[in-house]
Amino acid sequence: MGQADLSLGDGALTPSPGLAATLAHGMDFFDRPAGVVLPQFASSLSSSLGGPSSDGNQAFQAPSSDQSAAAPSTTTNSRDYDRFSDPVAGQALAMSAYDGFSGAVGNVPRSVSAPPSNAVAGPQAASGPSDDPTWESILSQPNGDAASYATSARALGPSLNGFADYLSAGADALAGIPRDIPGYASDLVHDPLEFFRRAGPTFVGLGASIPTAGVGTTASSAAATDLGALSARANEIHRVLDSVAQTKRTTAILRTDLGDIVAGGGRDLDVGQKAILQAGEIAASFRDAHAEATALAKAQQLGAIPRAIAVTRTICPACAKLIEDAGGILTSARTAIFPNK
Amino acid sequence: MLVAYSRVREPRSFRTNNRQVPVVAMLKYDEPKILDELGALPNFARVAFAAACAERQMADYARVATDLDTFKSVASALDCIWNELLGVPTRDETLTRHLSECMSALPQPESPEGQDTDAITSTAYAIRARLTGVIQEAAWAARHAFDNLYFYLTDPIPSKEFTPEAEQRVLAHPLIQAELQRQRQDLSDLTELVRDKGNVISTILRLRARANEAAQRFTGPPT
Repeated sequence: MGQADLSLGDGALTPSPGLAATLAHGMDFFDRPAGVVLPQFASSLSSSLGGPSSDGNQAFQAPSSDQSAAAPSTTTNSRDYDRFSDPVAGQALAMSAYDGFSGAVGNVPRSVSAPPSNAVAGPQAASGPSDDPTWESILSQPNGDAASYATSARALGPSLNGFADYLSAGADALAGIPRDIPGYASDLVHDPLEFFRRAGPTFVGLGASIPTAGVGTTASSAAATDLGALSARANEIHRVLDSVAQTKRTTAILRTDLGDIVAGGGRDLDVGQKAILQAGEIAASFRDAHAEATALAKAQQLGAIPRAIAVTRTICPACAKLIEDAGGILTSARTAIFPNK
Repeated sequence: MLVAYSRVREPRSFRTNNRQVPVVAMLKYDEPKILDELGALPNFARVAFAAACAERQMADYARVATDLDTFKSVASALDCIWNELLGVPTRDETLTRHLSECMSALPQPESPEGQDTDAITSTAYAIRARLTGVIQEAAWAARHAFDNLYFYLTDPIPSKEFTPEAEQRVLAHPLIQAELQRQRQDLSDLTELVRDKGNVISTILRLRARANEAAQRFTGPPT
């Protein structure tokens, strides 16, 4: 396993007996002074790669061509191992979300105001490998609206006054609203629930988490309280995933009368995510289903009444329909409330 | 002595087939401690640790792979890392290309993830560890080896039956325990290599050979 098509390999090894003997006698691999030219240890490699090694290792074939197509030299000096140096060593530990993997909840940053873009970028964003276009593009792909989300979320205050200010000030956001804003504003004053009913689908794509505190037309909408906080918690749990998984999976929190149901899409929550769940948070599992469906299925199983849901990725049309069928109303691309429950 | 894997209960034994079988203490995946130990190693050792984690998953990936070309490209990427660890000059551009191929082999967001996903991701993290020197990248390769088995073992369990007790049984499963033990062994060998300034090539070859051998029974006895 792991044996590749060696035609793709790029290492041209020129036998050179010098290093083989050195290696065999425990060469000081780590302390050699910089700049000291070591002969290529091809002979040791070729003997190791060409057949069973003296310590019983399996045979490896020497690469047939240069491992790096334009490798400049067949000799190796100490600088060749500089590539294994630690340009950003130590920075990885700065991301403390992973401190909680073993269950230390207190170690997980509770950055309620952290924009979802952080969840996407993961520790790499802070650690500085931003010069890698491949990784950069990977990390930015699935959540292209993260920046606008962050901007919108920051612009959005905790009250409807803030929301109104946001609407009046956010020209870009307004440009994305295809329907009649004055009409919505009227609803917002006279019938907030109707406002959300009508505006909900429209604001999908606006990317803002709309706080429902103060809308207060039903007990359930009051219970839904702050969708922003719910979203922040979803993002916090999502960030426990490794950076690749963060771009591939979704985490959802469904607030219910029995507690907050936490679900992961596809493979469900991983062990690390479960480890940071708090009292009142219930893990759900439904293999290969989307996070929203997983959470709603768990609520149904428990007989819980949904109040609100927040997810870490834009709610897909199928899940949006599922939410609406369950009495929910989308309030943003990633949140919904269940006002009639 | 390594402390990357905490013991969660005392050793005991049980009797089966008229034989007393000792049960070693259950190992638990403990990433902060893995990070601590990786942090004490030079980057080439961290890359070797990550590559071994990926290598152990490759046999199963081969079994489930539906696209031979994709498998070849991932296997080639992993070979490239091993070859460099053995001293073959490799340019960053080459590794970046391999990384790109690995990432494009991963399923789209919200698509079902199979065992191949973890093998590919661990390979990507091994490359990433080499390119960036970020300790976490190597640890993530180990996490995906663990995740691979965790999901392999939990997949057949119906959601309604997946209780905390059932999860504990999964975590104590011999396959997961064996993988955690292998990670522990790799870290131990690499720590010893660095401490004693031993023979790098020999250690890397031993690590890879052991990972290859373990790959044949990563998810159970060889078929």
